[in-house]
Amino acid sequence: MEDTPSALSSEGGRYQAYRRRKRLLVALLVVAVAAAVFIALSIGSIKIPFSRVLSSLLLFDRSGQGRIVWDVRLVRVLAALLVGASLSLSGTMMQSVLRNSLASPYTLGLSSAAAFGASVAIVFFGAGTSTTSTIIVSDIFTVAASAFAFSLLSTAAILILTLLTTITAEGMVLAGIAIGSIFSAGLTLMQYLANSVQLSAIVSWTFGDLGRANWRSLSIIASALAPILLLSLFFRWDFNAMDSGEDTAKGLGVRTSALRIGGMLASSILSAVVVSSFGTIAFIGLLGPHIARRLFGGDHRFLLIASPLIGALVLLASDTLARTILTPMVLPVGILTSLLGGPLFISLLIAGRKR
Amino acid sequence: MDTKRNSVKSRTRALIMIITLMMMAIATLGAMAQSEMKAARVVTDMRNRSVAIPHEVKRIIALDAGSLRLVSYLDATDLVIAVEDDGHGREKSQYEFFNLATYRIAHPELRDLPSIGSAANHEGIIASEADLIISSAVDGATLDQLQNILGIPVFAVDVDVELYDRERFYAQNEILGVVLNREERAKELNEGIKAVLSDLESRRAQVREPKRAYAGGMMFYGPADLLRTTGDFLPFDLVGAVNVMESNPTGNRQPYMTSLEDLIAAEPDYIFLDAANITLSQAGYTGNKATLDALVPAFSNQEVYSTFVYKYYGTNWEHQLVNVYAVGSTLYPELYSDFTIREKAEEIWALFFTVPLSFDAVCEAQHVVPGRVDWFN
Repeated sequence: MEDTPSALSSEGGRYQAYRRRKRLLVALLVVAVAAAVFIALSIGSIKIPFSRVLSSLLLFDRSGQGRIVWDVRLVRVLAALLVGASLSLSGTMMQSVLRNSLASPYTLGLSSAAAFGASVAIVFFGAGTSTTSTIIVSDIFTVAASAFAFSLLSTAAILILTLLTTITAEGMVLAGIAIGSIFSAGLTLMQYLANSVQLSAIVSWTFGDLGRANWRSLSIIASALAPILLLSLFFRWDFNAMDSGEDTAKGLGVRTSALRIGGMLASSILSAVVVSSFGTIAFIGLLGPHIARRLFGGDHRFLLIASPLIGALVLLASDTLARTILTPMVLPVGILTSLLGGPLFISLLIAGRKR
Repeated sequence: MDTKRNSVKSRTRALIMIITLMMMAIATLGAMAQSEMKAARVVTDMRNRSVAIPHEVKRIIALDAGSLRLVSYLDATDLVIAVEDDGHGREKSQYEFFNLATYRIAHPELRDLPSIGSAANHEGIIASEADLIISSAVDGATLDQLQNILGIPVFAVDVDVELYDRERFYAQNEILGVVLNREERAKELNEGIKAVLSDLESRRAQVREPKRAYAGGMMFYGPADLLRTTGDFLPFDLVGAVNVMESNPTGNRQPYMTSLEDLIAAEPDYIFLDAANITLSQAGYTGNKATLDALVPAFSNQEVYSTFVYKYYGTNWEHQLVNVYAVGSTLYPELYSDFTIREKAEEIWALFFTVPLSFDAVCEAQHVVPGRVDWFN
């Protein structure tokens, strides 16, 4: 840093360059996501030429092979984008308001709570009783609703703990881990109480799988993601202030407790919507924010856009691999995100140390 | 030098003599101990373990999926003294899965037997004074450990064997027949199955144009929708149909999840769905109705059928054979016109269970509506 007054203008120039560089990087990310979307739409067991994929997409042509592009592949591709973006955005917000880089929907016990909720529905509410010619009805809606309710319950428990005891951000993370382990134990109990059919239903629910996507579930996620993304962008400076410490943020006029509670609530609702419709997709909520931080630093003006983009990109790549690697067998993407995400995360940590 | 060598030689000889005598003594003692174990006989079970079992088996407990089904095939349920909780009407939940396994309809008295919980309830099993445990656990070490803890012989059965591996299936019935003193019954069952299979083979030989079919809603470690498929669906292979799906890419020939796109790419003309997952399958269909109707011939022509539950608490081999006839009469009615599926099913159940079962009663208990699904109305 130069301190001479004459450097002020060049300082401003450098700031302009910084913004230009980051904007360019965001633009590159958008291009990468778009490219990934086109690649994913062109890959599958039915051979469709790339030009046909492009034309059916741009001309809204849903006839013949266009139907495969629109109603079979696009649904899954959009699911990967929305789910990846939502989990990654949740992770970014949680990490900021809790000032802890370990915070994510998965580490804060939200996924365990959702899985517990799903298992309660499978074992106790009508997810298996019979109507006319029915033997097994995993009533998908009941299971999702129960998963959603329990993941919100876990967030509420963390928030109430915070309000009652005014515990610190660190305390909130620890409380999240503790509540998560309580729900994990509950899940184990449910699995023990379940019979063989219910047990397998619980296990297959916990494998995150984008094959469950349809236009309705996509619209539900989109209508949660859009307002929360806009809201988080509106508070981007507050998130930035939070990064330089709670006292500094308070000094800058940020209502830190309100931001913390609001941020936790919004990010929890978003990830609860995702987890209850698709099951546990581990690691994206941690991986997205961390890659974004590596590329963009701690500036939330860019992070809040880049992180969802990266989450979307990573999940889309994983899911495309998951559905093609053993064709015609499809792997649940949750397995791949953990399998590939783990080593990627470790390499990020090593790269970070070297720097 | 020579005397020294001789003395070494004689000492060696004496040592060999002593060792030989000791070994003989141990062998005699061992033989005496054997005869003390109440005239036990040693049989090799389906996991290649040697198991010493009493000459006359009187009190048995069958543990884990499918083992009690095999006992019922051999008409030996009268030897069973207790049942597991799982699947025997004592589930700790409100769901009624009891009747999904046909042997429980054939032998409703099993439900009234005392419970021993599960294989983990060691004290309960010991207290029951069973003289033989039949288990479908796969791992030899687990079986050995169970046997050591219980102090009761544990005979392992293989419930994953499919009728693709007929010799193993027959051999299992035979050895179980020996163990349970049901040799005649085992022979009768195996002969009966052989007759059914050769009847099917003669029909298959007449197929001119194999039809293309897809199997969905497979029960395999739990429920699934129409995208849980298999490339090794016995009914297709035995009636001479083309299975549009490949065998499991991992090579284990078991069901797997496929994608909507793979189903569309496969273009089946007929679809058969397991009754256990018919509701989930219907949900999967309605969610993509327009696409499936437009792109999959079986859906556009409404050639979608429901079959009897094939996997529930292990493989339901008897239902699998009924399904062969059901699939055959759907795909090639001209080759299967000499019977109704109702008659054929009752005939096959009688072969497996020795007690007569009524078609309507089984369908009602298992919520099966055989034939074309009613989704298109």
